[in-house]
Amino acid sequence: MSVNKARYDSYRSELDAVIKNIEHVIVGKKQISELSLVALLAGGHVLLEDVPGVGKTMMVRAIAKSLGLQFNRIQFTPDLLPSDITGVSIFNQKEMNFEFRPGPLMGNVVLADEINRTSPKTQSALLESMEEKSVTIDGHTHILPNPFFVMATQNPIEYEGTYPLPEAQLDRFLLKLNMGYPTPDEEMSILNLMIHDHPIDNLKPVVTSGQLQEMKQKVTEVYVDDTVKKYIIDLVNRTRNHRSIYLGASPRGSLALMKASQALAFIMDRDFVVPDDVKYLAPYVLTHRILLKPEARFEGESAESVVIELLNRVPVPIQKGHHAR
Amino acid sequence: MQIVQAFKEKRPPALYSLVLYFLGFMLLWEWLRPLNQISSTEDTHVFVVFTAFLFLITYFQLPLWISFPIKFVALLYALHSLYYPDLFLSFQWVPHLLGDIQANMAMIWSRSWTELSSITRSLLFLVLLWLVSYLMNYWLMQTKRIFLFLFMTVFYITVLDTFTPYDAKVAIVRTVFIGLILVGILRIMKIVEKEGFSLMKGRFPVMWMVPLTVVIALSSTLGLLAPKASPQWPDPVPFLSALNNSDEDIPGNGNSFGRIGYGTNDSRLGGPFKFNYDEVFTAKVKERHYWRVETKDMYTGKGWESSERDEPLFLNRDHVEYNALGSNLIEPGGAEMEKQKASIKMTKRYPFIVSPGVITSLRAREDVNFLMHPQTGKINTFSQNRSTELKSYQMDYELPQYDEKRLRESGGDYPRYVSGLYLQLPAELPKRVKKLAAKVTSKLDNPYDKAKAVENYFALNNFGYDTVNVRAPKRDEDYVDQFLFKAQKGYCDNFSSAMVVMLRSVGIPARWVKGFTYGEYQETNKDYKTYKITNANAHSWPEVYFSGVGWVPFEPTRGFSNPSSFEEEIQSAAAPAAPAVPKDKKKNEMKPEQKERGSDKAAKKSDSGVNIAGFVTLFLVLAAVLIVALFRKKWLRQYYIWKFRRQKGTGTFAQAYHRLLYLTQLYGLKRDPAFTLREYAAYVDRSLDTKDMKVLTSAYESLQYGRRDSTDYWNDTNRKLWENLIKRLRG
Repeated sequence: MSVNKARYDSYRSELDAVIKNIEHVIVGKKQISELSLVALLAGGHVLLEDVPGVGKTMMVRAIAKSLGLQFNRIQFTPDLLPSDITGVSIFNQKEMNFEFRPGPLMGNVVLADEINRTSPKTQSALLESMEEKSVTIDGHTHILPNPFFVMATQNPIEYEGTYPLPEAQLDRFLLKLNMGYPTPDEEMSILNLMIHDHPIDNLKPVVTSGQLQEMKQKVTEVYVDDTVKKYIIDLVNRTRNHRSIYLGASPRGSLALMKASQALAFIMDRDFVVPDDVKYLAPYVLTHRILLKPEARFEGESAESVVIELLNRVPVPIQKGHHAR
Repeated sequence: MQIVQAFKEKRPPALYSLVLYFLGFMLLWEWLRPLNQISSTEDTHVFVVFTAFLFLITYFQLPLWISFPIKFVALLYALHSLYYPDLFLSFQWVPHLLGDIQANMAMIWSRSWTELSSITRSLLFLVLLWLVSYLMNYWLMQTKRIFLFLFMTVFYITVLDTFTPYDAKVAIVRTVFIGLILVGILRIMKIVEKEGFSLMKGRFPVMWMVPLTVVIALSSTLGLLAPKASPQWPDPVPFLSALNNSDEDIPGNGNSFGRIGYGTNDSRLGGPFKFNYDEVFTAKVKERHYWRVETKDMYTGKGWESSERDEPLFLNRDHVEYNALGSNLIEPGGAEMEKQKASIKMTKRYPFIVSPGVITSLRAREDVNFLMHPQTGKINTFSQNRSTELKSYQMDYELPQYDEKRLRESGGDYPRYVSGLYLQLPAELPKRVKKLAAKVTSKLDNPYDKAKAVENYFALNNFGYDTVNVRAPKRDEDYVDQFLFKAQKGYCDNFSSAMVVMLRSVGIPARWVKGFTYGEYQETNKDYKTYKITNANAHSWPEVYFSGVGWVPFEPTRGFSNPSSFEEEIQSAAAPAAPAVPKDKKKNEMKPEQKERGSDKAAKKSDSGVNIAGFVTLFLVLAAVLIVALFRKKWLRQYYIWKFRRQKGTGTFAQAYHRLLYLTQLYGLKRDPAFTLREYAAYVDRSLDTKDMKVLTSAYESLQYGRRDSTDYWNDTNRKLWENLIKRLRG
């Protein structure tokens, strides 16, 4: 155990360094940075839903820089074509053949800004590549770099001229996060921080890509006890027959919740998942996977409030062999 | 002591607790009020005063080492005032009490509930009251919940109202009124306790108490005045009685007397019964005669009780001597005695023996001792201080042959121990009984002829023998009066009681005897005849005392004849002999159904005796269980600490952790099932002001959710944390 512990400690210090790095740039959003790391380590993607200017882009850039990863940004507009993001094959007259020019998607960390502004065609191209970690152009399959981490943002305010993502596609995101506004104190620190130059320029990577791969491998090895799996299933199952929910979470939801919990446990320096991990992550993992009934929406319920209500109701297993205690 | 402290911590202000105790006592009083009506318990005021005293002492919150002795002395004092006429401080009653308790303990062990003396029963009852007062204290001061008790009280009263003569019309209003006020006060106490503000501040008491009382009083009054719907169900009592006695029609509800009541005696006679032909014993005798079991001296107006004040006598089995005053059946030289032998084989087991008369020696198992109550003549069998039952026994005895001449000559000067006990009559005995007795005996000049006249009165006036269409006396009716003037039919208990009462009213000492008739003839051998005695042979008859002679049995019951032999003189006084013929005739007619009530009554009575005593035991056990359960907080903590200090092995840590969870929840730190262990641990730590729960919980988590080997988790560090947490639990 002591050997294990030492190894985990070393990861811990690296993870701490990453989070600290991000905090240099983004003030007071430790929780969001942690959750983003969870998604990254679990091999998933994040949907950030927030108003402009709260630091979404900065955060993604900070993560990319801290991890020494290549960062690309795609600003989605209505006239953006799939090939604009995946890349195109261009005929090279000199060499007399088609040459692949990779699009912005071919990066490690991709910020897909205002994803709901582009046409469904482009959206689906993005989401497909997220799922399959590859793009196919002119019959050639191009493997996307590893790690491949997409952070998509969505502006919840302006809906005019947007193409809301369908449920099936929302499902592809592991977590949905809200940045939220900083507190006045935090805002003051932001102003102080930015008074000369932007701190992002001074950010140095703290983790090598080899270490990152190793960590991702470790995450999959985090132990999930059957009682905890049962808890996850209980939770997800309840979304399927809740009175306010029209469409519940799919098995992909259960899987996502488990994977995310593993990553969180890893970040928390544990080699096993506890129900607290599940409970903590459930709102981020489940809210975008369920669809409320219209009447529930009219009554002022939100997906988040329903998930929280479920969390307050589903019994936590505390004893082996006794699930409903 | 801890308990006392705990009480103190949560105690409301003095005025409030005074009110609470008072109302609580009033509620408990409702349990005692019906006792003198539904059972033979008299002097209920002693129990009431005792209970009040208990509440008072509890109110003062003295430490246990002071309050316990005070309460104990009060208990003794109550017992003393119930049974001993001498001074409390003389302590002469102590040896008797101890002896009685000792003897009765033996009976409790042998489960002869019916034999328990009234002293022991009262003692048990007082102890029960003590326990209940303790519980009340717990409910009022500690948990501040009284609804369960209120509900039980209402249930108790309504059941009594339905099935017994007790009329609960007022009691139910009282109970509900008191109970609701109590519930109201306790409710506000609970709120106050939860919110943590002082009760006495400002006008709060007025603001709560006045509206509470007014609302309850108003609604009670409205309820009283409002028109009531008639019962939706038919009265269940006749139906239930009919279930029990399917072939009898029951007028009134008197039948239920036999089942309900405190005590196992003949204190409530009356009502129909069914014959039961189960064999009780077989007797081999030369001459048939009645078998006595015991006599009773006190007529209550409802039935018979024994005043039973004397110590039982130890009988020398080889040479039985009756050396206590009043234990003689026949005064020395009072009658000619005929030597006899008898051999008894019991089928039913009783802890006493049946006696043919004057026993001179007894033969039975070597280890058995015979103890006789001089007053009742009942001979109990004991082995090593425990009540025991004999399978068979033999005896030598003497049968008296009464000389009618001597009986006629016997005068009216009776020894004090006879006139003191056997002339007793209840004050409320209707005058017409006395008048009738005086009329029947007016023209006769000696006690014997008077007795004969009363004996024959029933036959001459066509009183009938009936076991079925017999109504039990109503609450305000005298048993004998009802028989003599209303029913004019009945069975042995009616006839014998009536004769005893009538004789007593004209100054002739008489008593009531229970036993068996001679039974059914089986066969004749060289030396003896065999009789089978069944439950249907149980019988009761009067015995009349004649000075110089002793106790002489009579047989007033229609259809029965006196088996005792009387040496008749010339038939000068014609009256006594006259009814002999019709009696015999009647007897033959009735043979098939001429069965005795007593037997069945004895069986029934012993049943109900077992029921009542069993009920009391059950109640005691339940009370004990309840107390153990209520105080489980206290002892469970100690027990777990003790247990887990010893326990080792793989599962121990998990077990200990779960016990801890159980305890913390028992102490009010409830865990919502949707709480994770960490969330709960944080809550516990916050409440107990520690960090230990978090540490323990993370250890448990790695055991529960991780893949850990649990052996080394129950180490000293974790155990200390665990014990610390348990010790921190309070209140």
